[in-house]
Amino acid sequence: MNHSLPDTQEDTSKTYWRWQFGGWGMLFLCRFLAEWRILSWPPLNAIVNEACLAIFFLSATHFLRVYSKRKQWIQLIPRALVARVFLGGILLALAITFAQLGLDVLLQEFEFDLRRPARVSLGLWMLTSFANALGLLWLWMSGYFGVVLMRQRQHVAAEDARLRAALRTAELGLLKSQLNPHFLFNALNTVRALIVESPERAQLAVTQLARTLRYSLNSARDEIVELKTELEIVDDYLGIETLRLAERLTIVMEIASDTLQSRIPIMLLQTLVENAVKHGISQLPQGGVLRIAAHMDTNVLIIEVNNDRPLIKSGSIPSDRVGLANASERLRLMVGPSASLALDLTQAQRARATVRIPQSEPVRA
Amino acid sequence: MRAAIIEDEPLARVELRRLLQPHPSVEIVGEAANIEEAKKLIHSTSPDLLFLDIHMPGGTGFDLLEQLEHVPAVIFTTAYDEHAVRAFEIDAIDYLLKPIEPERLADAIGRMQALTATRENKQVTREILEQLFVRDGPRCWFVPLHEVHLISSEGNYVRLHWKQAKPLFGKSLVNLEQRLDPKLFFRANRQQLINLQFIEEVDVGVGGRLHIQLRGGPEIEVSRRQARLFIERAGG
Repeated sequence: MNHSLPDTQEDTSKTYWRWQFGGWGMLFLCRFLAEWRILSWPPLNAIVNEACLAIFFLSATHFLRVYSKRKQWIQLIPRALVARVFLGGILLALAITFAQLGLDVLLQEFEFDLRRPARVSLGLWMLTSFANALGLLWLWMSGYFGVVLMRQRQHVAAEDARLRAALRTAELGLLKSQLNPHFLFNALNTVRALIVESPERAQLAVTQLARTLRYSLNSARDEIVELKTELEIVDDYLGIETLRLAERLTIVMEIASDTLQSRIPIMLLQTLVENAVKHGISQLPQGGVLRIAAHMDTNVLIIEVNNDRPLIKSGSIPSDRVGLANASERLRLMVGPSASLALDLTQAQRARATVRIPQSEPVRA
Repeated sequence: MRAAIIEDEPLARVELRRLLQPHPSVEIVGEAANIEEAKKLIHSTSPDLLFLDIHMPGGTGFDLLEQLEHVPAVIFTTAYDEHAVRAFEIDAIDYLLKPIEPERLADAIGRMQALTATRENKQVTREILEQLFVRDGPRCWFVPLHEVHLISSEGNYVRLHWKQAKPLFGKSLVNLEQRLDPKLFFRANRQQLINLQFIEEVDVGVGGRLHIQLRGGPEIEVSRRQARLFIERAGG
């Protein structure tokens, strides 16, 4: 689960060892000095005692680090992590205590009494060792997991920012594709011709073009609009396309009046109509019919965009499917799984896109 | 200069006609709205110049050029198609972005006039091909044939060895040979046609074969039968 780069991993590891050696070294150096100078233990006793303890704690905590990494403790919920720290501390403290006892027994074989200077009974000696170890281990673990959790949070935040930036770039790409430069420049060319031919029509075309552009530029990605609003922009768009394609474009609108208030994702119908013109009618030398129909089926809004299209040469993939796949995904995200968009290309020279949007459900705006 | 407008949008045709009014040297011989109409128009009027839209119903401007026997000079017009325009590696043609700027149009016409003027001086007959429109994968070229040093057969296609490029062309060697200038291209063997202007050195080999070194190209072996023809022509 580690997303960081190898060099930062190495950095982390270096920092860890510096703290391990520095921390335990300092602690047991202080304890050695205290035992020797203040408690007046024989220096050899104090040195052996503290050096062994330093090695025990270093190994125990390093074992904790390796084990918790392998078991991915960092992914646990806080309560489970605390429980593991609690139990792990007790188990390792016991292990250290018995290791000390073992060492003591071993050294007595060589007639070296490790715990003589403490002048306490074996039971008390073990109890204080255990309490000491437990306290130190818990302290160590809270420090260690605190740092690791903080690092992880920073990492997640960075990753989050990166993803958000990527998403924004993708959205910009979407906006750019919505604007369709080919349409824009062709429209401008048409307007240029109309200025001399028919100034009134040129004025209307500029208005329609401005409205279409403003609509697609202002539309937030997840906005929900009434069908009526979307149809107004489709009208403007088709007004411009009619100027370009002239008699090649025949438009049939069959919109039931009870659908006008129904709610759809913004630019959805516009995308379908643009596709129908771009990949269908405008590819036909003789032109064709574009039929836009909407009706209610109980509480479901059904929109159908039906158009003539050229025969697709076998082997070539119609590029409009990519655009429609995006529209379909957007519809699913904004309305839910009960909404659908289907493109029917089974008829050789017609394309039919059908959108179903349930209206009873609250539409997420 | 006789020009044809090939453009599917009526208002765009009107606009281009009006833009061409201040250029009396350009005579518009006809208009076509798609590539089928365009083929008929070009066949019946043989224009010197095409104003050609790239995006059209029933096939692109490139499709049209591929289907033409004689490719006239071409000025592409397109609203927005950086990829198609960039497909041209060589600046042998011109393109105009719609809406067309009058100054850019004047420049393009000036260049075309200079080009056709040099061509008319050469007094070439219409039956002989001068340039080919070649599309190989995503790339397109206008290839002036006098710059091609070697044409080699590859199955039903030929490979044009032209400068650094070696595009494939969708005609057979026999088919192409009939329409090449015989004063320019010579059949060296069953596989290869060589451009005589590119010959650097000729060596006589064993058994009457000839070895010809082409400028900027490989050494070509001339078959015995063709070697006799070559010597006759060189001697005559």
